[in-house]
Amino acid sequence: MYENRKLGLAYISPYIIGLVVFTAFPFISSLIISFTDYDLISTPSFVGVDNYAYMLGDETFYKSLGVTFAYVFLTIPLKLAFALFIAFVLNFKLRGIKFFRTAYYIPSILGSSVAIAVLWRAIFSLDGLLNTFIGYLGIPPVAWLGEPHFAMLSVTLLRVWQFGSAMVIFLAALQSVPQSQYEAAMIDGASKWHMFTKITIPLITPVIFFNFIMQTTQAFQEFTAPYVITAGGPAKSTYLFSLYIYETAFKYFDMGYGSALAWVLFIIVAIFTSISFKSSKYWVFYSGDKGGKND
Amino acid sequence: MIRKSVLCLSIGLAMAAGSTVAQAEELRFSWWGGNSRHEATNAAVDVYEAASGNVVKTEYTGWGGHLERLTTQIAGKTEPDLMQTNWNWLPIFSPKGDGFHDLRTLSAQLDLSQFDESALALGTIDGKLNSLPVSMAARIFYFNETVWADAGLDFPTTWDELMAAGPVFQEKLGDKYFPLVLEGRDVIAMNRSYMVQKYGIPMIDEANRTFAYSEDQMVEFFQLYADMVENHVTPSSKYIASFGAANLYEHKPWINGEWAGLYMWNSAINKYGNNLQPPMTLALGEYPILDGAASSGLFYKPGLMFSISKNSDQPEEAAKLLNFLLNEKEGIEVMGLQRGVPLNKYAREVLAENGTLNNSDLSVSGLALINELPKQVPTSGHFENPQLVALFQENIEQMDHGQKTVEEAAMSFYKQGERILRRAIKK
Repeated sequence: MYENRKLGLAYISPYIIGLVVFTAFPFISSLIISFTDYDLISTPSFVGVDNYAYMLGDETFYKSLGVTFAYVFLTIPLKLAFALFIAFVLNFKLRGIKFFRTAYYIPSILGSSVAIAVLWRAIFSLDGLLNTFIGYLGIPPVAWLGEPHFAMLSVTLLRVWQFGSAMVIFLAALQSVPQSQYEAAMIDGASKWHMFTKITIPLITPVIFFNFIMQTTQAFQEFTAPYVITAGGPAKSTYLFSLYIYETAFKYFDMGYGSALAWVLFIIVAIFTSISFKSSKYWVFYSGDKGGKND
Repeated sequence: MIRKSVLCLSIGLAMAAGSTVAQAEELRFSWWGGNSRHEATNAAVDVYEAASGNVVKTEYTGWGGHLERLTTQIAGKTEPDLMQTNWNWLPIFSPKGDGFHDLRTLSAQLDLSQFDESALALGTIDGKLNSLPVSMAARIFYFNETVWADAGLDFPTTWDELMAAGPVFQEKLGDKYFPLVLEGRDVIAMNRSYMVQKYGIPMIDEANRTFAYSEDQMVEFFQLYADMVENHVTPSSKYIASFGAANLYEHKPWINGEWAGLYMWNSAINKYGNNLQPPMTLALGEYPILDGAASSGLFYKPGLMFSISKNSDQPEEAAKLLNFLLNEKEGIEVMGLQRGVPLNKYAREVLAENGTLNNSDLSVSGLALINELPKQVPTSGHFENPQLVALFQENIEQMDHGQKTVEEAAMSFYKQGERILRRAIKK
């Protein structure tokens, strides 16, 4: 028994070591650094809550926070709705459905790579693919990356396009909805739409909730797309919080303020997630529930 | 079974450890640059490896992100043994002169006799030679000959002529054509030059850790950019942004000649020239000087430098490689002018002899022009502060998007910029 435990620990040691070295240590040290003035090269000096106090009057902080929320509120509903829709379609028993399931997943395999972001830039550039295409339809070119609201949309679309992982999870959930319930509903004369909204959706709410939480925490930390496609521009319209943290820490050598910003982001994500969890009991139905709020 | 697993694990770990030990003997060498510099430097390193039997691991990137990467490495004491460094990084990494290896202590491997003491002084802090300057450089004007000829214009010789070229380009070639293209860091350097010519003062007052300009002068500084955009002399930051975030020389309008001029480092010019669609060619412009100006206001500084890590286990080996690149005939010939016209006297002789150093090269003819211009007002090392440049870029973008007036942008830059300078210029 004890031998087994040692072996078990040996097997998971790479993960434990990784967790301590690459997550726990930076996590704690960034908290400490956030109370210092530290330029990476000279010794840090303790400044108390100065970094946090400065944030209150920092224009860029508010701007960047606003941009981040706009990004999250734009990306998440679009991505989840799209993923659910495609999963729904791919749940039909059609010929060659496996091919389509794979095909729709491919963008997600590419992940948050720089290469994809570069491709995106080439599509949305003023002389890019998209403008060439709409040019054939007689529409004049649009400055997708030059106009603040379009730039945000272009960056958002990249992540919405990568809906594969959420889709696969939705697909699994859809397949676990018992056929008998649909059959019963059909006998009662329910329409397809009724079946979707009254049976499918309620039964997969735990999975919707799971996808929502996963995608939201990811979206708050988005970095690669805006960094590569627009570098946060134009006029800071895609200057997400993670970009601000990165530039503050590694471009302006203000590790203290950068760490403080990172901690504020952490707290915001934590609050947001806990609100989501609190709200979940009103709309997420776990099997065995009678539905609605638990008594 | 358990024993076997543990044995396998320890063998695996031992092998992994073994491979890191083997790697530690390699010499690491990093630089930033364009493709041609990468190719030449890698070729030179190959020659060095073949001759010395040493293994050199090269780590090279474009300019964007290089400083961030190096900073992280230096903070973690994992920087390469030999590094290409920038002049304004010295106050960041080595404010007291102990941030890099003192190159004078490596005189057995690295010959400094071919460098003027005045050149060495530029890389010296507190008597310690932190960085060895390779070449001198300044920002000057270069124009796309072919497109300017199409516009029916001669290159401008005064600021007024430059301003007047915008409408001609627009009328003769169309809305997409501009006589010049300027990003934030080009604008700030060019406007500074104009202000030096007009008022005889630099932008930054280092002694008082603030701007040397009055508020009105700062507004004038921003107005100059606004006028250039208004007059179609340069595309607005908004228009440039619509092509996405990339190096200027990779943008299609640069390659196809729509953006027909630059205010650029003479040492960097060849990567821009090389990217033009043939048969278009780039040519050196005259430097406009206001009547009665005592100084040109050139942003003149060491083009780039080399430093050896203070954490290196093998500084002597790093010095040998550096010596090969800068002092030995083979290295000099392979490197050519990829890092500008060498300050090293022997290198200039070698390159003159084999015909590389001649005025048909834009960086060479540019340097000749730079050497003739008056440069009484030196540029502060903090002028290129990344945060200050980013703040400037942000404010001109806000102007271009109609979010701020010229006055508002100027005042916002003045206020926030002063804070940045106070923090950057250590007492």
